[in-house]
This record gives sequence, structure tokens and C-alpha cells, in this order.
Amino acid sequence: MSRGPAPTSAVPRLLWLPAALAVGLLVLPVLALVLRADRATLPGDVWSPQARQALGLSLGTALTATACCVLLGVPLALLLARAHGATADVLRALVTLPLVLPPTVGGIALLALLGRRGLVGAHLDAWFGVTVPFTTAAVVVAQVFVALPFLVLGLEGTLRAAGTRYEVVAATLGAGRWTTLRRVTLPLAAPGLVAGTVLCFARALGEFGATALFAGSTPGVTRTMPLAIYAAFNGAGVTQGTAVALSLLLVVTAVLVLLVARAWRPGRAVGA
Amino acid sequence: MSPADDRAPTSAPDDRAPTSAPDDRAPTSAPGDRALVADVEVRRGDLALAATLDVAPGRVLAVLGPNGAGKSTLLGAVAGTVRVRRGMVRVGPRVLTRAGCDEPDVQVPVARRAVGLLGQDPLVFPHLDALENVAFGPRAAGVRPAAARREARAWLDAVGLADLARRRPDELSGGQRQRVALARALAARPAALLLDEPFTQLDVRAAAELRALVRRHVRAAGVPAVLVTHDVVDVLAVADEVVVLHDGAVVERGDPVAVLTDPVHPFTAALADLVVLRGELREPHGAAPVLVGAGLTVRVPARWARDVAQERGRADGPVRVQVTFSPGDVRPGADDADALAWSARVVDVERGPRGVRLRTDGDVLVDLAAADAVAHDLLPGAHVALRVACTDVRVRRV
Repeated sequence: MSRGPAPTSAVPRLLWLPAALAVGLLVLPVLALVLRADRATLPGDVWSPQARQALGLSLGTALTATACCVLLGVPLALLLARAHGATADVLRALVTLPLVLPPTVGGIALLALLGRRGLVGAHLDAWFGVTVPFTTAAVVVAQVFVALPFLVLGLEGTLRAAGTRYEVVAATLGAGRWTTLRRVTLPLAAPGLVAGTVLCFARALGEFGATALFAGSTPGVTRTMPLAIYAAFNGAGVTQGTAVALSLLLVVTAVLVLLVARAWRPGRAVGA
Repeated sequence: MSPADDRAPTSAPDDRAPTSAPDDRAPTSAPGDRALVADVEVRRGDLALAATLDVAPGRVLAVLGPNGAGKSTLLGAVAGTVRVRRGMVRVGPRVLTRAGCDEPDVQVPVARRAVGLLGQDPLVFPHLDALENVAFGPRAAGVRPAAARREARAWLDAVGLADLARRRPDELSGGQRQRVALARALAARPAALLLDEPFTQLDVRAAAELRALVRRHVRAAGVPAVLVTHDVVDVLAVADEVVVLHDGAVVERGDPVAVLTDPVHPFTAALADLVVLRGELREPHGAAPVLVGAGLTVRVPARWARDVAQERGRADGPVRVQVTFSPGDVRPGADDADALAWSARVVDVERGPRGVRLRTDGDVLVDLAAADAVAHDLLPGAHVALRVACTDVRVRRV
């Protein structure tokens, strides 16, 4: 990766205008949010029991969802990256679906599957007495549903770019499949895995639509930060100042995640 | 000499097959017991490959051929990455591949074949330093990390990279990376070693150094090695024996110097940068005998006529011969009694090893000093009398 100044002279000057607008659109709202915060009540709002509860629930569910995504997504990405043919193409498209689906549709779909009268949910209820919707587990399921594609697609791209040449070398050196996976494939794909995991976590942390429909907004059980912000904004139980404070908390958390991800650089980029 | 001798006592290997455990290939058995033998038929796209190899431990067999001749396919069949239609690959008594024979099919997975591979691209693991790269094989075989590193250090020392053990691959030169790859392949204690054009991406000096290292360590380790290449320099510098592959078939095999100085197949001659003329010996009435072929009529010495007469006594029909000579031995100008002589037209002129290289009728190459070419006014289209001394020509019946 080169780090010198980019040769901006090669870009037509007219492009500066839309580019500046884009930056404004991305940065100004967050700036406005910071300026809007009421400094007198901010510490109290941020440290209010509701806020702490929501933050704790958000971090807990998002981390759990991310762990689930890694456990399920890494194997899927590995298989997709090495698969050929029509079946693999169809599977790849299906995996992408939650990415382009509105999260609310995802919420309804999850209810259709796991709801008390859902395809699988009915049996879960009848046989095991387990109900998923409107529990903390439902929050995690909703987050996994929307976040998993980020990890799978990111990691699969890295794995495909890395190719299988190093794996063949490892095999000629006597390494079995697990050794090759552990010592060659995954370390080489580490940048993609880290990027995918971070995106996954960020998406899980910000998840709202599917959670709202599938898990509801019970304080302390399913009311994560985004839902708490929505509730606060609508004046249900907390004030608008709280909504701003909670939003700021979420912004800070997101920025921290990005910083941590950038600071951690595993080995070198593949093929560098 | 070889660090293979000071392998540290190893921990018990894990659940892997004991193929790469040290005792498995202890040099107690007779050398012939560990030869690499392959007799395979492979079909891959348009290519139909049918080849046999037999390489003794510590010896290098070169497989010479152009792109598309089936060299890499042949290596793949031995390495286990290419499916064999019919035939067998074995190292000593251990069968690695068997297909289409009376006995049951065998296909040992790549990881259990103990067949090392050194390719054009070193493919040194970019996330590991030189030492960990070399220690990879021993560790995969179950050697404890510290012992594997000791072993790796000895191998790095053997290829002259002891000081660079902790360098990452992107801090090494191409030649150094290829040496790491060689050390890594040998540290895995392969039962056979495959070398797939490992010198082509190196500069002249690094290639020469690596050729010497490969030759030395293949002998020291006592593994049979197959070197695939299209470069005759590799063959002469490294190989003990050569087979020439053309369109999926072995067209020639033997001692490298013999094959490359007196090739039978025109294709081998082209690789060795020699000119081959094939034609029929004729004796026109009242004239000197001639060789007619490739659109040329070459006057040959009178004594060849006596040989022809003798041949005639034995066999009916025309006497076909093949003459081989070096482009550098062809001279323009005056006739000479004890030479092959003919006239030809210059087709094109390019740079050559001695100055310029003329391509003349019948695809005969002529290497000249630039001054000679100018003195004889040898531009494309020019007619020129050519001769080559009999002492510089090899003749064989075909």
C-alpha cells in the first residue's frame, strides 16, 4: 500500500463539489448531534440506569451475535470460496439476500419461521416449550440474520483472492486439512476476517428493524440502544435529551470499534 | 553435511500417517528401494500424456519440453493434484497412485504422499518469517515447535540464509525466497522432490547459485528429484538424466550431454539450439552425392557415397539420414571438399549469440559475427553459399 499524497491533479476539479457535499452529508449530521447535546444533562443522561441498561444489552447481544456469525460464517465462507457450479452461485445469491432486504422484512420473516405459530417455532413451543420471539435470544437471532452476510461475503472475497496455491504447498509439506486451515488459510485471510467481523459487529450494534418486529422493545430484555433511542425520541419513558445522549454513546462505541480494528493489523496483506 | 542428520528427537507424531516421520525413510534400505517410478496416462483437455519415469535416490531427472508438452501435468500426476487415467506412481514399494490396473485403485492424498514441490513462484507463506516457513513441514509432522525451529535453522544455514531467519518474505529477494522454499521443501523430508521450473524467475546469478544448491542437497538428502524445465542450461547444470517431452510423449531420453549434443528428435535439436536437416542421400550420375530434403540440395563428401553404396547392399529404397550441426559452425563462402555445401536464401536477420543470426531456407540458422554478415552483404533475400565442415556434423540414419 502506498501512503504518499494522492495525485489529485488527475481528477477533474468539478468533482470537488459533489465530493464536498458527500463529506458534508456524512459528517455534518454527527457534528450537529454533538453540538445539540445538552452539556448540563449529558453526564446524567449517559449514565442513567436506562442508558446503561440499553448499552449493556446492546454490547452483550452484539458481541454474542458477532461470535455466532464467526462460528457459522467462517465455515460457510470457506465452503463458498472453494465451491464451483450453479449450486454455489445460487447459494451465494441467497446469502446476500438479507443484505438487500429491508430489516423489517427480515423481522417478519423471522416471525414466520420462529414465531409461536411459525414454521419451526410452533414445534419448538409444542415439543420443548421454547419460545424465541420477544426474548433476548430473539435480539441475537435478528442481529445474526442481518449481520452474517457482511462476514461471509467479506471473508469469501478474501479467500477467493488468496487462491489455493498456498494450501497446495502446505499439503506438499505434509499438512493435513485442519493444519492447513489453522496455519495457512485463516492467517492469510485474517485481514478479510477482521474487516468482516468489525462490519458484522457494527451492523449488529445498529440493528433496529428486525429486532423491533421480532424481539420487541422490552426494557432490560430486548430494548437495545437503537430501540431505546427510538423509544426516547417518541417520549416513551425517557426524554429527547436521553435520545441524543444515547446516540452519542453509540457513535463513540462505533468509533472505538473502528479504531481498534484499524490498530490491529494481523501479519501482512495477502500477496503484498 | 546435511542438516537432515542432526534431526532432534521428536515428540510422538499426532494422528497423521507416519509418512513424514524420520524413521520411515531412514537410509538403511538399498538405494533402489526408494526410487521414484511413474508410468502414467493422463488426459487433460487436448493433451494426452503418456510417460514413464524412473529416478534413483539422489539423482535429478530433467523433463525438457516446451509449454503445453505436458510437463506440469506429469508433475501434477506425481504430486497427486492431477487425476491419472491409467498407470501407477510409486516411491520405492509405496504406491502413491494406481489407476486402471488389475489391482485396486489407489490415490494417496497430497498431504500424505511426502512429495515435495518447488515451483516457479517460491510461494513462501507471507504471514510467516523465513524460519517459521522452513519449520512448517516438521511442525506439520508433529515435531514440537522448539525442535522444529532448531531443524529449520540448520536447513536455513545449509542454504546460506542463517542470518535472515527472522526476515519476513517481503524483506527477502527473489533468490532468497526461492532458497527459503528449497529449505522448506527439504525440511519436510520428502520421499521425492518435484522442481517445476524453479529457476526461471531468478536473475542469472541467483539462478546459478540455486542450481548448485539444488544439486548438492538432492544428493545429500538422497531423494529422487524430477526437474521440469524448458531451459537446456538447467538440464546441463542440474540433471543426471533427461527426458524430452513433446505433445505428451517422451521422444528422447538419456545422458544430458549426449542428448543435447547429438539429439535424435528435431524438437530436441531446436531446444539445444542446433540445426537438424533430414533428407534422402542420392547419387546423381557423374556428380557428387547429395542430401535432398527440407527444400535444399546439400552436396556431401564423396566418401558418404561409399557408405550409401554399402547401405544399398543391405536395404532397398532410399537412404534417409539426419545431419545435426550448430548454427555457429556454418560458414558463408567458398566450397570445401570435406564439407557439406549448399546455397540458400536469407529469410531474415536478427541478433544472435555471435553477433547476427541468419535464418535461411530450410530453417537453417547461421550464426555469424556482425562484420562477416556485412562483408558478405547478407540482407534478407540475399543468396548465399553455405558450408559446414564434416567434423562439425553428426550424421545418423533415420
